[in-house]
Amino acid sequence: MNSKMTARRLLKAIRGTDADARWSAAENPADAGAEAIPELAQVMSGNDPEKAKAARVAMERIALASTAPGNEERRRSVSRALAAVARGDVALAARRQAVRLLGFAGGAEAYDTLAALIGQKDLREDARMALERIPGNAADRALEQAARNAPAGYESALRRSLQDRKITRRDAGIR
Amino acid sequence: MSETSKIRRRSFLKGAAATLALPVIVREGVIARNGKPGANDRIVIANIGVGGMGRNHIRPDSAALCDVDENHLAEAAKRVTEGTPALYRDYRRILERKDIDAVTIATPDHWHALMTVHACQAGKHVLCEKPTAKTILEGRAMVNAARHYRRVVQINAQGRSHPNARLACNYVRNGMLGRIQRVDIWHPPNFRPDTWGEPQRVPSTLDWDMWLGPAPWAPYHPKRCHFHFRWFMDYGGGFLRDRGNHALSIVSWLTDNDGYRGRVTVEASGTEFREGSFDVPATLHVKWEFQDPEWTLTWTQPGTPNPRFPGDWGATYTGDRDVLVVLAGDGGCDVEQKAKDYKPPSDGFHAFESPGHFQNWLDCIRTGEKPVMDVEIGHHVVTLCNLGNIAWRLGRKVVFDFSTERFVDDPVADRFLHEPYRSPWSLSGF
Repeated sequence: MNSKMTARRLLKAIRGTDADARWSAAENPADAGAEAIPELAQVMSGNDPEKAKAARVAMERIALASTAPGNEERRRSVSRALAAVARGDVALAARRQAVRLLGFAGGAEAYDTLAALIGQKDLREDARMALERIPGNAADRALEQAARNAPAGYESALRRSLQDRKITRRDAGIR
Repeated sequence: MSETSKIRRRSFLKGAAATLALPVIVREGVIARNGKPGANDRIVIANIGVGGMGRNHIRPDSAALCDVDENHLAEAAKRVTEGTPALYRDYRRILERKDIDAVTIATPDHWHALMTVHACQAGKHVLCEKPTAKTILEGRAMVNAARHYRRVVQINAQGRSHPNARLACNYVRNGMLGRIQRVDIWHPPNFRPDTWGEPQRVPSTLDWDMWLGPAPWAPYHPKRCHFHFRWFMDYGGGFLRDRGNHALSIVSWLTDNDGYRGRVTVEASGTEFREGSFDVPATLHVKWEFQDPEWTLTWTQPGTPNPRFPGDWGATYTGDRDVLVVLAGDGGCDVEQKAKDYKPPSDGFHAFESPGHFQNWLDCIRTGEKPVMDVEIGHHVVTLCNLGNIAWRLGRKVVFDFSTERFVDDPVADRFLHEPYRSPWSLSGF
């Protein structure tokens, strides 16, 4: 399998009948980039568990590969694609995976999506944890905004996330 | 299951929402009064997590047992032959008890840090199963808690209490191999999944929500729960962080790496399980490159046993003068005969001769000394394991600085330093 994997070739391999080709593609998808993410989410929503798993693996590898230092534009495009999946109408498992990956690949372009998802019961914990993982003051503000608009009883979880983000190596575990 | 509690005072915890409010408990028992018990004082022990490895921690006189699975509790209670232990499903009930001096923790990995930190805050000494922690920040929190609350925390990577590991340590640390150039660990692959893990009804005997604790919510399946948790990154870390924790503990001891505070470069490659629910790698190769002194450590899974001293898993130590093979690194540690025959010079290095891992822990509770597998060593070792898994997931080479416990020039890798907890659990604010 050529390491230069376009989104079209990646999806063709994952949807195909050759398991070796599927997994070779799924495990080496980085160059397919953000363009592949919406359709990978569709495959994750399908009935074939092996293809769904291959799609999940490919989505994670694309997302994490995009975070390598030195290619901020690629990370942003992947983050925007993940955010679209998180807001979309694919299967909950695919949306959850996208939300969790935003915790790694997400930046400012993902804050609004994650903050909005805190209003959705099935995804609020994943969205909160993703926001908690993203460093920076802007993510703090997104959590604060989410806390102000939080569903009843959920504000404390968001406040705790804000607190946990301040844990340092020095004070971890110390009251 | 109805919880048994002998506490007469008002419970300070009222459900999960009160988790953040877990206070520092100042015990009024023997240890808390004078710092450590006398040689003849009984150390009152309770066991948290009593299935699997936890069965081995139960003492004939354990004062209390805790598990989220009633079946585990019922079986465990039969092992207590001196008295009747109190049975709990929530470990915080044990931490409330003033009469308990020390606890053992043998839960899945994702609970180790929270329970250890809470136990230290409650004034209990801790014997925690390996691997020390799920994340690097958790390991640091455990060390901080042990030091701040002056508790003895021993990690149950018991290889360092094995006589053969000690003999191997004497052999290597006295220079019989010359300068260590590389250590290569081989191990069989992770267990292969045989199910897609479709959600199943939670058994009435199991508190699944408490089993998950700080981990992200997931539907119940028996192959996600007891024992098999180690094949999911949310709870375990595959064999690299399981038996690998044993193997790397021995490597760190023999190479005098416990106190290493330099940088390590880590890269990993592997393959996925094509079928089934497990998400740890099917195969995995990790390489760690240390500086000053320069040497290389590898983990190969599946790896090929060294024919000069074959075994299911082990490590080949290669120096510029000789080679030594050490098998396993847990309770089944073995080493080539030449190390067993070696007598270190009187002024040479003599590895600590442990009276047994559990006994060493008890001894240290009495003396206040650090145990042979002190939590800080456990944190160092499991960090090596976690770095391998992080490098595999990121799919790129990473450089980690042990002095700062952060990655070098890779801010997204730093997002792996800690996993946010499911509400209401938290490492802060206890």
